[in-house]
Order: sequence, then C-alpha cells, then structure tokens
Amino acid sequence: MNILPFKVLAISALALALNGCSDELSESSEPVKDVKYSAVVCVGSWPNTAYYIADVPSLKEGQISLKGSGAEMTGKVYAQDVIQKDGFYYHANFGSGRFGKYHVQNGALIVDKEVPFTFLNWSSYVWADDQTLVIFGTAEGEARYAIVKVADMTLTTGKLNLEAYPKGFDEYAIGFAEFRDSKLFIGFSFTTSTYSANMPVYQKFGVAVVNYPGMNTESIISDTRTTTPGGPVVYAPASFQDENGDIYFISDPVYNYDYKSPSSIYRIKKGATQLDNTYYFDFSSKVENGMGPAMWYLGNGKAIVRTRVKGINIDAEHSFSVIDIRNGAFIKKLDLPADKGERMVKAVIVEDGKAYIAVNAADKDYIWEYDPATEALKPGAEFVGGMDYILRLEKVK
Amino acid sequence: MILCTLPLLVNAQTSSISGKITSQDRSTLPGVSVLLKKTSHGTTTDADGLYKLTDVKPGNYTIEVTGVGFSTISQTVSVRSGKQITLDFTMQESQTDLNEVQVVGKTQTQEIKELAFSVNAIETKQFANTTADLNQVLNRSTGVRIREQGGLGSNFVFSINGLSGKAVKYFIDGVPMEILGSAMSLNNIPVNLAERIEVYKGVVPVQLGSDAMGGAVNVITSQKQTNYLDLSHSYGSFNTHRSALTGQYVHKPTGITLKATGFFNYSDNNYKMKGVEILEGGKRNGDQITDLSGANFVVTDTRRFHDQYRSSMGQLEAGITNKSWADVLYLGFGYTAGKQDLQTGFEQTIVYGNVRRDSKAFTGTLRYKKTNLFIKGLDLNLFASQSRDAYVTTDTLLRQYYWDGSWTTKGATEMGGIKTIWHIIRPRTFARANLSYTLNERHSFNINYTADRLKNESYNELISDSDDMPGIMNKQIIGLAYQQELIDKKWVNTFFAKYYGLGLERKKYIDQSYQVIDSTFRNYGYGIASRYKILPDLGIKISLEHAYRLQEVEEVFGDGLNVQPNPDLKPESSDNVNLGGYYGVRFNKHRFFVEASGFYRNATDFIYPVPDQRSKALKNENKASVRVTGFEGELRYDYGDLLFFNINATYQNAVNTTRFGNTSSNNYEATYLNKIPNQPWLFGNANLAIGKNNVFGEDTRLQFSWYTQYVHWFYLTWEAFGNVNGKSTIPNQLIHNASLSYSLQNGRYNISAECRNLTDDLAYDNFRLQKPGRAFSLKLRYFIK
Repeated sequence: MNILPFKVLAISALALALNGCSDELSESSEPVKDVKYSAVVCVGSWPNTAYYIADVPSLKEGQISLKGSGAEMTGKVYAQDVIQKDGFYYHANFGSGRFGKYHVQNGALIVDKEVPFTFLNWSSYVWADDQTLVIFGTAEGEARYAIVKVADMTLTTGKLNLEAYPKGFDEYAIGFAEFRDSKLFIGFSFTTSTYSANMPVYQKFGVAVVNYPGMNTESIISDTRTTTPGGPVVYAPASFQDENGDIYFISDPVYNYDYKSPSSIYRIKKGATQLDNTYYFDFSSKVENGMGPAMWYLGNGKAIVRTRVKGINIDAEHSFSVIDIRNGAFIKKLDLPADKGERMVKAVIVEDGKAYIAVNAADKDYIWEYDPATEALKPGAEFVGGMDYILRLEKVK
Repeated sequence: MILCTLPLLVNAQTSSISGKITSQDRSTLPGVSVLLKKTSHGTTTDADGLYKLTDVKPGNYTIEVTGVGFSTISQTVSVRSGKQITLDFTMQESQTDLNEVQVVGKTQTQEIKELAFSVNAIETKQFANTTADLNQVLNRSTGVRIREQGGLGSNFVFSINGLSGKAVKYFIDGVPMEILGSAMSLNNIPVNLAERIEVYKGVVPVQLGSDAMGGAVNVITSQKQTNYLDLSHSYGSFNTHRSALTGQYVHKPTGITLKATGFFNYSDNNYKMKGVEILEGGKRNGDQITDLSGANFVVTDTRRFHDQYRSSMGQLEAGITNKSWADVLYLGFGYTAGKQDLQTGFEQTIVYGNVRRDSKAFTGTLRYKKTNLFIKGLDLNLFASQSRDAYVTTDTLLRQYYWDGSWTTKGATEMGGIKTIWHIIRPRTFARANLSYTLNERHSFNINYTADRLKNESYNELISDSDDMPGIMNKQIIGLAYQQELIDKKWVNTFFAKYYGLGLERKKYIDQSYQVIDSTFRNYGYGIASRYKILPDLGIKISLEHAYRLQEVEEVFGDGLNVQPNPDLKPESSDNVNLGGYYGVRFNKHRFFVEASGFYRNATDFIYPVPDQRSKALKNENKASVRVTGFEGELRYDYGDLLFFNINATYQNAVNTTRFGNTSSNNYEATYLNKIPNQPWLFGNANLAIGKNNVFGEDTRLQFSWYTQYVHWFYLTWEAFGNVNGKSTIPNQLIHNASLSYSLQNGRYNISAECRNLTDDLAYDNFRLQKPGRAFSLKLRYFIK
C-alpha cells in the first residue's frame, strides 16, 4: 500500500476540476425494432442488485452479455414484474402509486408515460386485445381491476365481485387470468393480509367468470382439491388457451403456504363456464410432489411446466417437465441442467413449434432449444459473465 | 514575565504544581513545556493551556516554561508537603527566535493524532460559533462520508473508510450513544456539546468495548473541573431553531459538582424540491384528488412538506470530585424526545404526507473514576446505566401523496402495508468497567469489560397492546490491551484481544405453546497498533484488527411480523489494516501538519434485510462481502490565530468480493471484483478561516470561515454493466458554505451569520433524495468560563 499524500491531493484537485455528468435522455416514442428478443436479468447481491433489459439478438446462438450493454432498469423501473408487448414494457408500482409504459431505445429505458395509479396492487393481467390490458389485484380488502388503453394509458377501474371471505381471511390472492369470448376467467384463493409464521389455508379456490367489458361477475367456479390457481402471473404465466380455445391452468398451493395440496391442472372447455369435470391432472404426483409455478403451451396438445422440487421453500431448484395437456399425462422431465434460478421466472418462449428455455444453471446459463417433434434438446444462446438471475425472456417483435 | 502567582491551599495528599499558560493577548497556549529543572518532573500544557506536575517532593525548585516563539520563563518555587500550588504564567512573544525552526508541544487533539491508531481527532472549538451539528463537523474529516436523505434530523448513513451502517458505533465519553435514546444522534447533537470528537477507523481501542467492526465515533464532552456555561441559539432558513446548553458548577471547597447538558432542535425542513413530479388535472376536493381521470404528472419545483423535525435532550449530572476515594462520582438523569415527520421512502417518487415517528427515552447513569486505586498506577473507571427507549411509528392513512401535498386514496397505507402504530420499546442495562495499570513508564495494561442487556419489544398497537415474544440480547465484550513504550517513548506498541460473547433469546410459538429459543455466539478478535516517531513530529504508524459486528436479536429471530427469523445468521467480520504517517513543522507562527494513510478492509458476511415479495416480510441474510482499499490525506496550515487552512481528500476503492450471489453457481457472479455501486469513492474538503483579534475594540475577534465540500459523481448501479446511455448517476456535488462571526469580551458574547450551500446547488447523497438548497442562519452564543 502506498502512502502518497500529495498524490491524494493531486487527485482531489483533478477531481475538483472535473465536472458534469448528465443522465438526461432524449425522449422518443418508438421501440427499436431490430432486436427480436430481450431478457430481464439481474446481477449483484443485495442491496446492490440491479435489473437490466438485455438485448437478445438470437435465441439459437451467440452470447448475451451485460458488459456495456443492456438497458438499466434500476432508478426507473426497479422491478421484475414488467409486462412486455410489442417492445413496450408496462409496470404498476404500488409503492410510488404509478403505472408506466416504457421502451428501450439506444440502450436506455425510456419512459413513454407514467400515470398516477393507486387503485390496486397488481398480481395478474390479461390482454383483452392488442391495445387493451386488463390488470387485477387487491387493495383495501377488495379484489379490483383496471382496464388500460395502452395507447394513451387511460384507465377504467372497478371492483371485482368475488366470493366473500371465509372467517379468518381478509385478502384475495389473484392468480391466472384468461380472456375468451367476451368473458374473463380469473383464478383466486383466500389468504391473509399479514404474514405470520403459521399462515392459515382455506382449502378451496375459485375462478370468477366475468363478462367483458361489463365487468360483472356471472358465476364463480370453485374446487377444493387444491388452492392458488396460479401465483402472481405478472411474473410468470400459469395458464393458456390451446388451439381449440380450451383454457388450462395450473395451481401452485405452496406459493400461498398450503403445503398439503398438490399442484393440479384444470380445464375449462371452449364455450363452458365450468371446470371440465372429466379432467383433473395431479401434476405433483408425477414429479415427486414437486410444484408447477409456471406453464406454457407448446402446441399440438403439449405443454411445458417449470417444476419446483417438493418442499415448503419456494426458493428451490427447478426443472422443466413436458406434459400431454389434453390427456392430462406426464411425458417427461427434460434432461436439462438443474435450474438454480429465481422462484418466478418467465423462462420460455415458444416459436415455430419449438420451446426456447432459459435455464439458470450452476455451470453455464443457456437458452435451450427443445423440439417436441424430435425431442431434441440443444443449447442455444448463452448468458455470459455470471448473471445472478435470468428473470424474463421476451419476444419483442 | 510572571503576572500572577496565586498559591491556593487545598488539602491533598501529595504536593503538586498546576496552572494555566496564556499569551499576552490572553489566548491559551497549548504545547508549552513546563519543567522543574534538575528533576524528572516535566509536562506540556494541554489544549486549554493547562498543566499539572504531580507527586512533587517538598523542596525548592526552579520552574522553567518554554514555548517556541516566546521568551523562556524561569521562576523559583518552594513546595511544602501536601500542598497544591497554582502558578499561572503569561508568556511574551520573543523576537529572537523568529527564524528558528523548532518543533513545539502539542494540543490534545494532536496527541491523539499521534496515537498508533488511525484516528481523526477534531477539536470542536473552531466550530463553536457555527450552527453545525456533529455530523456536519465529521463530514469534513478524512475517510468519513455521511450520506443524508434530507434536511435536519433526516436519516443518514455514516461511513468510515468504506464501512458503514451497524459496523460503525457511536459513543459519548466512551459510552454507547444509543443508551441515551433513539432521539440522540450525530445529526442533532449541536457542536457546542462536544469538546472533541475522535473517529477511530477500522481498529478500535479496547476502551470502547464494542463490536465496532468498521470504526467508532467517540464524542468527548468537557471533563474539566471548572465552572463554565455555554448557551447558544440559532435561527435560520426553513424555520430552523437550534439551542444548546452545557454548563458546570463546581463548589470548590466541597468538590460538589453539577453538570447540565441540553439541546433543542426544530425545523420545518420546507426547502425547495427541484424538478419533482406533481399531478395536474383530475377532480379535487381540497388536497384530495378524488378522481384521477385526466390527471398527469408534470415536473416542477415545489416546497417540501410534512418534514417537521423536533428533538430535545436534557441531562443533569450531580456528584462530587477530588475525594480520596473518588476522583469523580456522578449520578445522572437524562431525557430525550423526538418528533419527526417521515417524508420520503427509499426513492423520491415515494412521498409520505402523514407518516410520523415519536420517540422518548429516560436514562439513569452512574459514573465513577479513581486514579491510583490501592496502588499507584492503577486506575478504575466505572459506568452503569439503566435506560428505556420507546418509539412509535405511525402509518395509518390509506393514501398516496404527491410532492405538492395533494393525495389520492390508495389500497394500502402510505408505507405500503397495513395500518400500523408500531411501538418499539427497549429497556436496557449497560455497565462498563475499565481498569488500567501503568506498571512503569514502559509498560501499561488495560482491561475493559462491558455488559449490555437489551430487551426489544415491538408490536402494532392496532393489533395487540404488547409484544408477547420480546427479544432479549445479552452482550458481553471483554477487551485486554498491553501497551509498551520503547526507545524513549519513540516506539509505542499496543497489543489487544477482544472477546465477544452474545446471547440472544426470544419466545416463539411452537406446537401451540411458547418456547424460549436461544442461541449463544462466541467470537474472538485481536489486533495490534504500533507507532514509531522518527522525529519528535514525524511518525509512522500501523494498526491491524480482526473485528466483528455481532448479530442483533431481530436479525436472528425476526420480530414475529415484519422480519422473519434466520437462525443461521453469522456475525459480520472484517480484517482491517491502516498504515499511515504524520509530520508537523513550525516556523515561528507558521504551522504545518500533514498526515496521510492507506487503509484496507476485508469485510465478509454483511447482514442485510432482504425483502420477500411473497410474504412482504424481510429476512436478514449474510449477503455480501466487500474489500476496500484506499488512501486519505490531510494538509493543515495555520498562521498564529490569524489564518487557518486545511484540505483533505479520500479515495476508496470498494470492490465486491461476494463470489457467489443469489444463485448457487459454479461461476463467480458477474459483479465479483467490480466496484461497489452507489457509494462515493472520491471526496474532499477544504476549510479556510481568517480571524483577527481586537478589530473593533479590545478583546474582540472577527472571523470569516469558508468551507467547500466536493464529492465526485458515482454510478447508481454497477459501472461495468448496462449501456452507458441509460445509466443513472449521482452527480458531482460541490457545495460551498461560509460564515462570519464576531466575538466580544474574549469570546463571552458571540454572534455569527452563516450561509450553507451558497450557490444553491442541487445536492443529493442518495439517488434523487434532495438535500436542502441555500440556507441562512444566525447564531447567538454566550460562553463563560
């Protein structure tokens, strides 16, 4: 170690001479369209965790690095629950009471518009059409919705009429949401607003059938075999509609401290407003009592489930399972490295009948290509440089 | 020349000679050498020009007083058995040694700087006429960086050589500051309450028995056995009032002493916020925006609101001094109270309009000191206290506020949770015993023991009326030090070891019944501090310590609500090294002092509360490790009492040494060995004071002071990552402050005017959390001794 007092002073004099660093950005209204995909990633240990939106030029090859690239989210949108469509990112920040629309331009995250929004703390969403985002959440003990016209970020808000609270519960946990034929299907279960070491469990969940745009609850479907029909899907999806228009959704009871129920998959057939009584798939029983925090449709009756190992801890290891969704049958666990990543990851993009799966592995972090037709699995683009978390994989174009 | 000789006859066991040495203009002269010729008795005057020669055998002596720039004084003195003699001298400036280069004696702060430890010693006298609080004084010193969130009373992070938070501990006269209550903090203690502040960096003496892993701040109040009164009040921008009182009365014949200390602070903190967002449009009813349709954010400047701060403190100590069985025995009682509006969340967009914190604390203290206990050289210092600190955070409105004070309803409270009136009550028993033994001139020993028992009760008044599972912390720290002074005291070594014993317990509801869960942690720390004087005023020093910051009850067991337990938590630990040197030189009235040091910290297992999205609770985890290397330097120059100038700079490079982050991985995480973001790494200060005595009449002084602070810009997040176009920064801060003060009757009456942030620059320590702009204040001070 050097003791150079005069050097210190010289450096400080130099520093005093230096000046000016601006983070002003020029506003622009269009996302750059030359990048097809993006990924929300996180580096650094707490409290210096930083989020970035990294450009992903290709899912199949190349390297994804944050060295000098990627749009910094910290200081603007310090969150991973950002919804992306057509290159625009949307985020509702309950802490600062605002809902914003953003895009990436020249490596910077640009604020297109932020509007005051204090009505609900979101956990779920669905697109009613390309320009209309319907978000769901809770506040003041109510289940609430907001219909957002994303072109100008105007909002219409209201209360969702769900089943009244059973005794001892004072909060809804809103899970998956699907929109089909002017009807919204919104999964929910009951929880409490305060955390305690022994969280109570109400052994029942519901799916509200709500007409759109009237937003009146027409009926409530319920079932007692599991709870938590999808965790907070603003992080990762728990439902989809197949080519027939049938809705499938998966439950993740452990997310709301239910350590007894299995993770199960249900179907609501096209045109129906009831669960398909002929269909019930106990997913946990096929994966050593693991859970399914997220699910994507692969096409041709197959789906992929991000699968968490059994246990009460949701910050656990994950794998990926392929299932025959129509027949409720387990196909296989994909031979991928164990996923050591975050609990809620939007890890899959399906394109041209193939799944591209981001895996936070112990060794190398690849986007793997899985072809369900040939069952071939091969590594594609690689995340390099030691990223802590890969949180979302997005198709921008 | 001898102007007065006042022998005082006081009962005492040994004979001694003491007194005060002043110059012709009545300023005190520190560092003046006083010796009895042809004996080994000799000393130098302290910062107040006082000296004392003890254990003088009866007889006739010649006392000689020498100081550079002054004529030597010689006088014969006759010492009789058991008598104490007071001899004051006034020295005349000498013209003969104008060109002589000589090194003179030192002030107390300088003596501390010459300790083997890496320490900032700041004499507060120079700031006594300013409105500064201790943070503002400390923020000008090397290696120290204080990041405040706002104006008076706001939360702050105190960093010493790159380590901050709970790694830094605060003391008043060697006693932890927090026992005086949570309203007592470096950001509200007026400068007049302290005589001196010491900042120990990385390596902390055993006397401050604590788990101060990163360093310690020790505020020293006046320990003089004299009568004095220091009373001041200031008023300034943003309706800021600050009063301070400290006084002591000693009844000489009986030794009965009364000591009173108090302060009061108040501010509206309604300074201008620049470029913040407010809402335009929407339907309004008073401050409430009832309908947000059509409401838009617009950027504007607006007055800060809901940021009132009030804190007060009073402490009374009564006791006796100078008895055969006690040098000092004091009983004290203290009270502190605070009321604070909480204004902003962790980012500027989170605005609070009604969140409040109130606190109140009572303290009873006992202080005992005896030198030469039983045998010569054995000194005992005891302190014990019982205190109760209580504070309440109130967050009961379901509202979202905006910067203009308007609000909308929100589905959660302002802080984002359920309605709370959150009580934290902390009864605490603290005891400290310090025993030092000076075997001879070369060898001395010190043993320090602290016992600290803290009960932590916390509950939400809206849910329950007490905490049925409070946490209890028992902390015992033993420190042992051995000091040797070799080669004519040129080489001083201190070897020390510390034992950290920690017992934690909390009741927990398991299997339908309460069970007490407890855990015990034992850790051992050690270190060495060494100084070698090459010349009387040129020294080099090195100090090393393996130090700990112990876990707290809440960190290990949680609080049953907001914080989840983590029984696997380890203490934070750090290996700290300082290597430095100093050099002082004086040519007649020109005095230079330069000091510089390099530092190294290797800290691991930092404990951070990590928020959990699912449970909305926090969990403390050993999250990160950091290695800091850096250097700092300071240059001081003064010319008599006319001019004082200093400049200092600190550079620190903190790199992340967390190999594996959040995920279990075989690869080092991306940020491994990257510079820690969101942390100042280059900063400096310059002070200039020009003063002249007797400008407008005798015994007056006019002084102008200028102070500039510079903090180099830094990135909010990791430097290496992300496109440079979109990276956020905390910009350069270059803040100028000036004050003008005028004193009458030798500093008895003082008036000063001050301007902070003269150029009204946008200042923020934390990302976009703005601090006050230009502010004026006026201070009146009455000081008598």
